[in-house]
This record gives sequence, structure tokens and C-alpha cells, in this order.
Amino acid sequence: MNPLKDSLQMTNREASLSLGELTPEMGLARVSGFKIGGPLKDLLMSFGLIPGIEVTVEGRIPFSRSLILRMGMGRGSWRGVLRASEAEIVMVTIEGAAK
Amino acid sequence: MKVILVGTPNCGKTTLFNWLTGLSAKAVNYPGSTVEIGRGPAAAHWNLGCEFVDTPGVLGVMSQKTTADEEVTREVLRGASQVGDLDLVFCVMDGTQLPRQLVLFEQLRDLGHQPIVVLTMADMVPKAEQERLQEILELVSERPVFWVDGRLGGGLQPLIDFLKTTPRENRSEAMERRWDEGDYRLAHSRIRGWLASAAPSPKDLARCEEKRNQGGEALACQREQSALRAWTETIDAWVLNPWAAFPLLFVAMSVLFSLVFVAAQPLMDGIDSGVSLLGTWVQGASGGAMWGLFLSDGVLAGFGSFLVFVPQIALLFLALAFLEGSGYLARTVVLVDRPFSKLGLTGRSLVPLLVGFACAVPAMMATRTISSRRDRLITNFILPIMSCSARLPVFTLLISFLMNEAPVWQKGMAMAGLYLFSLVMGGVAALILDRMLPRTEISPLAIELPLYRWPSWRLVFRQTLSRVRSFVERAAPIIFVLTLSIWFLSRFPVVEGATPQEQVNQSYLGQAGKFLEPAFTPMGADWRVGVGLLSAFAAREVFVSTLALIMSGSSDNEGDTLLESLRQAQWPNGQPLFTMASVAALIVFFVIALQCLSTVAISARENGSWRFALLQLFVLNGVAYGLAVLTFRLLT
Repeated sequence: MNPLKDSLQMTNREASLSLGELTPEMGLARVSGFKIGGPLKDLLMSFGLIPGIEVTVEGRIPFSRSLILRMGMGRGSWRGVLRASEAEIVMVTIEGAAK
Repeated sequence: MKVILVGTPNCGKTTLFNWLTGLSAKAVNYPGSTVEIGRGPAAAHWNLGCEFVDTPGVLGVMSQKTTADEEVTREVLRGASQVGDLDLVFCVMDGTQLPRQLVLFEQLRDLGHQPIVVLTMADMVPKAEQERLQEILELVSERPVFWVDGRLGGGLQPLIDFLKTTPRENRSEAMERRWDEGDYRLAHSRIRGWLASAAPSPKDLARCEEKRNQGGEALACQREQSALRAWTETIDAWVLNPWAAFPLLFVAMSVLFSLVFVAAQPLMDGIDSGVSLLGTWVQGASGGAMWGLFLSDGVLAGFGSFLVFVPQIALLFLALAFLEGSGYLARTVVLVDRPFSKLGLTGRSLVPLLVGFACAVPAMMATRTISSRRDRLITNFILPIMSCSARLPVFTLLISFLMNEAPVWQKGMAMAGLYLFSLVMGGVAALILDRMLPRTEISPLAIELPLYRWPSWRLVFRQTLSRVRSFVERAAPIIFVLTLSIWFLSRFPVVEGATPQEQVNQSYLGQAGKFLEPAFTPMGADWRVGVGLLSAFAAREVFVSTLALIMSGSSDNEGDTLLESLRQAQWPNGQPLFTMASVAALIVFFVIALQCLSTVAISARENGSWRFALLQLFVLNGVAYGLAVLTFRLLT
């Protein structure tokens, strides 16, 4: 599994939405890019939201809109929390949306 | 040779540093644990002429938005820190979470470094997978790649052997230029390119997969990690459950503080008695000579004034280290983020605030993990309001005065109420600052949720010792010097034949108290209480012993002696000095006032501004004074 390599195979035909709009029911998505650049984008990329990586929303923090995310797949995956406001700038495509 | 360890937060860098140096730096299962650099020579048994430098965890080194601890790492990499020029960079990465950490690796390469990749968590990755990743990374980095097992120290010998032979990194002109000109925001797209080109062929992948499936060891690793994941998800189902999350957090914090305060008390009493006994013995041996008084009331009392709180601080650090090591602390940070954001704080403010209940000095140092300068300033500003350990003796005395006949549980409730009051006041202060300070920057919260692990007690104890040592080294000299200064002011000029009480009355401190009495009167205090308040600037708890000295002529504050003296103390017109109104005013003053001068010094250093620290000193003391006066007026 090489998410970054796989990302090269993605096409423009895939529908995209922001990570903030993703719900647990939507299942697996892939990071496709960012709405804006700058320091926040750098931080999110360093956090692991690299274009091409798989991401799943597992839920939300109680009484908050912060997202509980699982990034990557299988053994190499990890979990993290991101505020919904910051997740808005991350673009994702839902796996299989264009297939 | 100087080797710098760089890596993302919580990747196992500090553990590796400890193995390499034989030191006991703090290593925890919580992002942002290293807030300062750690330095140490290679452990003697490695027979290696190397110095290792442990840096704070960073998500990247190219972002324009950095936290204070990230800035430390950048400075070290630039060769602009006290460490000086570096010879070699170890890029330490958690082998179980490689994809996201490659960003940092690529950035280091973009800067012109030739990092040596050290992959940790070898015990969690099957051998075949280790070989596959090693193969790819060696191909890409053109340097050897090492796997180490942070838990047992496996895999270190090849790394040491390599260090004995490796040439130093060439610090190229291009690298200097990139740092100097700020031309280091290179495209991240390269990482995709090299990963794609360096990735093994489908045939190689199939071979690795086959090896993985065949190996019994691989299966064991997978099982262990699967079990940890399942365990983590089960616990998180409760810990992050909308109904259970906050009650569990409340229970966890209550247990933590109960344990800290209850367990520390016998140790604190023991130290207090020990220092008192030693002081009495020294005084006896000196026959009342000045050097004896200097040793007993100055040196020993000064030493004892911070030593007595060390057990409580150590236990709090121990409890926090346990929570960090278990992985729960990261959850508490994300849980409180939302309510804290309403006050202008961030979830990352939680740990400093918790530490602030023991002492504001290490708490201010812990704010370095907060990326937003605004959030950090607000957190630092309100930290002195958190009821630190030094306030306990003062509150104990004042509550005992107010509720002398009340059962113990009522006194306990009153004490808890004061802690709650300090929290509320801190919240109000944060809210006001949030409204006053303009938001000029984003304050993101992106935090990893580590797997729950049973912490290694050895590591927990070692990191607690390390933090306590750091606290004592930083705070003790300041407190000690200030306490000695107060002693000198209370002992000089020497009045021949005077009782201890008369001596203090006529001392420089007494004269200052009398001069300032008009300022203390509105809050119901006379010059004697004023002297106590002035002496509390050395350390808050000194208030009690100073008051005892002035009121009863003895610094012994045990038993009812002091309480009785307080009850009998009068104004010149015969009115009682200590009333419910004046004692309540004192309590309000102590809750809010910033009297600890070591905190002021640390605040100036941590915020890089004496102006901020002095503003904090004047504002908090001004508000404390104003509210104390108001309380006295309302209750009189």
C-alpha cells in the first residue's frame, strides 16, 4: 500500500467535497488537495493529511464539531483529531465516487 | 561529533536519546512532551565520542507558523542555537506511521541535510515489512536506514557501529542560503515523485506480502498491534462518548488531585518537621549567635520553603506522566478544547493549567506546545491565578481561623471551594483577555490520538525525576535568594536586647510595612499583615511564618499558637484585627495576586518580554487588591 503513489492515479473525474463535510457513514475518502495554501495547509500536511492519503471520519468529539479521523489504512493507519473549521480547507474525494 | 535527533512529536525520539546517552529525559505517549533540547554525551558503554541532541517534536520545519518548541528545533537545525554547528541529523520516524512522517524527512532533504533515517517501534512491525521499508528508504535517501526497538533497546549496535565510521554531514553553501534567505518553502510534490519512483514493483510487493504471511513473527506483531487497536477503540468508545466523556474526565481529575494531595501530605509534614528540627538544633548549637539564626531562619527556612512542596509537585508530575504515558492525556486535550475555546484558550492549555495547580513555574514552561502566541499569552497570564501548592498553608491558616470549630469535611469543602474560585477567576480573566486581544492568527488544533498503552513504570519514574530536578534547579535558586533577602530585611538593623517580635517590628521590613500601612488598611490589614504580604513575594507560604514571627514572636506556626495570636491581635483602638471580613479579603487577595517573583522571572523569559511580566504583576496584584478591598467593605 502506497497512498502517495496511488494518488497519482486519481483522475479529475472524481467528485470532491471538503473534509469537514465528511461523515462516518460516507466511509473511506482520499485527500485530494487544499482550498487554500499557507501555514495552515503546511500544518495539515505535516499532520498527515497528504494528498492521496486515505481518510475516514470515525466520529466527533462530544459537544464539539472536531472530527475524529483515521488516516491511512491497515497497520500503518493512525487516529487524530482536527477542528471542523480547519477540516474545511481539506478537499477529499469519496472512494469510488467516479468509478 | 554532534548528532541531532529530529522527528515528529511522539515518534520515539526521546526514548532513543535515552538509550544512546543513558540519560533519563522525559519520553511520553503524548505529543509535545519535549519542550526544550536535551543534550548528552554517548553512554560510556558505547565507547563513542559523540554528543546527542534531542529536539522538540516537529510536524515540519518549513511552515511559517511554528510553535515555540518547533522554533527551537529550527534553530538547532540552522546551527543558530547554543548547540552550535551540527555534524549529523537523525530523522527519527515511527515505523508504524510512516506516510505522514515522510513529509519531515523530505523537508530535511530539501534543506540540504542528508538525514540518517532511524525507524522506531521495531517491535510493532513485522520483520518482512521492516525489510521492505528499509529497502525503499535506503534507495531514496542513499544512506543506511536503521530500525530500533525503543522498548528493549534492540537494533542500537548497528547504529553505533555506523556512527563510528560515518563521515560528517557536509553543510553546503546552498543549505546556508536556504535558511538565510528563507528560501525553504519548496514544493511538497517531490515527495510523491520519489515515493512513486522508489516504490517497489508489484512483484516485490507480492514477495513481501508472501513473506509477511509466512512469518510467525509477523503474525505475532500483527496480533499485538491489532489487540492494541481493539483495546484503544473499546476504551475510546467510553472516553469519547458524549454521555460518559466529561463525567469520566471529572472523575479522573478528581482522583488525580485527591491522590496528589492526600499522598503528599505525610511527606510534606515530614520535610517540614525535619527542617524545623534541624533549625532548632542549629540555633541551639550556635547559642543564639547571628550565624546560627542565619543558618536556621535564613538558609534552612529558605531551603525548606520550596523543599516542602516538592513531594506534591513530584506526585502531580508522576500522575501526569502516567496519564501521558497511557495516552489518555491527548483525549483530555481534545475534550476540553471546545469549552476552553469559549474562554480564548485552547485544549493544549489544559496540561499547563493542571501543572499550575502545583506550581506556575513549570506550568509556564509547558505552554510552549501552544502554537498561537495569543493563546499562549492568555494561558500564561491566567496561570498564576491557579491555586498553586504554595497557597495551601495560607489557605489552611485562614480557613482554620474562619471555621475553627467546623468539622474537617467542612474545612475540606471550603478548600475545594477556593480551588473552584481560582478556576472561575482564571476563566473570567481569560474571557476578558479574549475580548481585549485581537485575533490576528489562526490557532489550529491537530492532535494525534495515540494508542492506549500501559506506561512503563520505569520510564514514568525517570521522567518524573527529570521534571522535578528541572523544577528544583530553576525555581530553587530564585526562591532561595528571595527568602534570604526577606530574612535580611527582617533581621537588620540589629536591635540589641530586643525580642524576636521587637526585632521584626524595627527591622527594614517592619519599617516598610509601617510606611505602607495606609495602603493595607482599606483591605482590613495593618502593617503586621502588610509585612506578611510583602514577605510573601519571596514565596507565598512565607506569609504564614512571617505572620507567626510578628504576631507571636516565634516562627513556629504549629498547633493553635498562631491562631490564638491572630484572635488576640488588635488595632490600636482595641478592635480585633482579624475578623471574618479581613480574613475573607486576605483570601481573595491570595487567590488572585501574583506574589511569586520566580513566576514573574519565568514569565518574562517564556514570553520574551519583561513588559508582559511586569504588566501581569501589576494587573493581577491590582485586581487582587481592588477585590480584597471590595470584599472587606462588603462584609464589614
